[in-house]
Amino acid sequence: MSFSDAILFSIGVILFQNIILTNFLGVCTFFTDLYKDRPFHSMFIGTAFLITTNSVISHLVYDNLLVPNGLEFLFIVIFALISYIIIQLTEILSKRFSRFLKKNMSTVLPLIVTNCLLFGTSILTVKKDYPLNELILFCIVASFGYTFTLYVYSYIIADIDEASIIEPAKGMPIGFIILAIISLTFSGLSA
Amino acid sequence: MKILNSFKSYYLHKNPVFVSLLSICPLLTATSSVNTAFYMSCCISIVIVLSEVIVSMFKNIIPKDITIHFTVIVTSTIVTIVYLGTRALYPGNFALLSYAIPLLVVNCLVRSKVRKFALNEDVVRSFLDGVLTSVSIFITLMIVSIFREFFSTGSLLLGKYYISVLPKGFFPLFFGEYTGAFFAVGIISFIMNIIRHDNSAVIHEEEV
Repeated sequence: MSFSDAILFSIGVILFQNIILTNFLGVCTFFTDLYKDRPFHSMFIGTAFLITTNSVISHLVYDNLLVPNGLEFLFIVIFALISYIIIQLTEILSKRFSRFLKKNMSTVLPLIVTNCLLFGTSILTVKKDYPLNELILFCIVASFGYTFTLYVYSYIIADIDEASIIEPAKGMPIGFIILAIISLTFSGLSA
Repeated sequence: MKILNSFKSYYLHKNPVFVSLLSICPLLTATSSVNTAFYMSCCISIVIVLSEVIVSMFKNIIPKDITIHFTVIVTSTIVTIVYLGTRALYPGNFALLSYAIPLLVVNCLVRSKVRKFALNEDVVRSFLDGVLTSVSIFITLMIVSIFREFFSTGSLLLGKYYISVLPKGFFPLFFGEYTGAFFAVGIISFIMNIIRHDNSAVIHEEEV
């Protein structure tokens, strides 16, 4: 994969195949207060670390352990266990060993623990069957797209909270309408 | 009639999707047509009811430290059974749902029901709670999918029956695509909020 290919691939994954807006992974996190007042780089590093580790390990296990033994049908159980193990291990080990990871993880873990981001990305990448270098690029760029969308959304919703909108539209309805407009903007760039 | 009224108040005020904001992923992924939404809600019902019943059956045997892992394994086994069953029995629908069914393992609704309800209650109550939740999620998925299919194609496909209301191409295909999913869910939750506000206003006036 050449450099220009990688750039085009990254732009495609951030804008047109954004994992929130086209695959609907991790939409629940948009309706919590957990992402407010969090620095962008810290959220990006935490998300990218978790997603990349999880997808690479799932990919290696699927290719080297499940496919040769004819056990592809177990992939749901195995991937779910891998994502839970990785979250718990990161929580324990980052507290103990790495101050850098601990600082960045503490902002991201509450967002990611209970949602489909990790598990869904590993299912998605196994279905698309990327080679390993493209897989790592996809995971890093997809988590950048996720954090970017979350950041844009958080700025818009902060203004919406101060505006005078009618009572029934507060909360979930206006959040979905904003997401739809962001999605429309991103998909409009593809034409 | 009493049951219907209590279900209506449950659906309006304790709705798992529009009030608790759980299980949004299948609501967006699988509602592009009525057909897929029907099969998806069947899958969700099977997963919720079976995992609640099994977890509440074994809740006294399992040590407290590994309850989370136990519930994950139970749910993912049931999801695997549903996945393989759909692939064998309904290959036409499986092509559309092959991405949405595995995600039921980490579905917030299934996880919260299993953790907060089934680990504390007995088998019969867990079964009834699972049935109630799956009926309400069935109704929600149906409302959203009928809205999206009607406003994208102008017609409805219910099983074998094809009801054409407006000519093809009357509406743009906007609501059938992923951008329209967000708009449709936003509009429907707005309408639900209006109905809920009206209902709670009526209740307040009666109390006064």
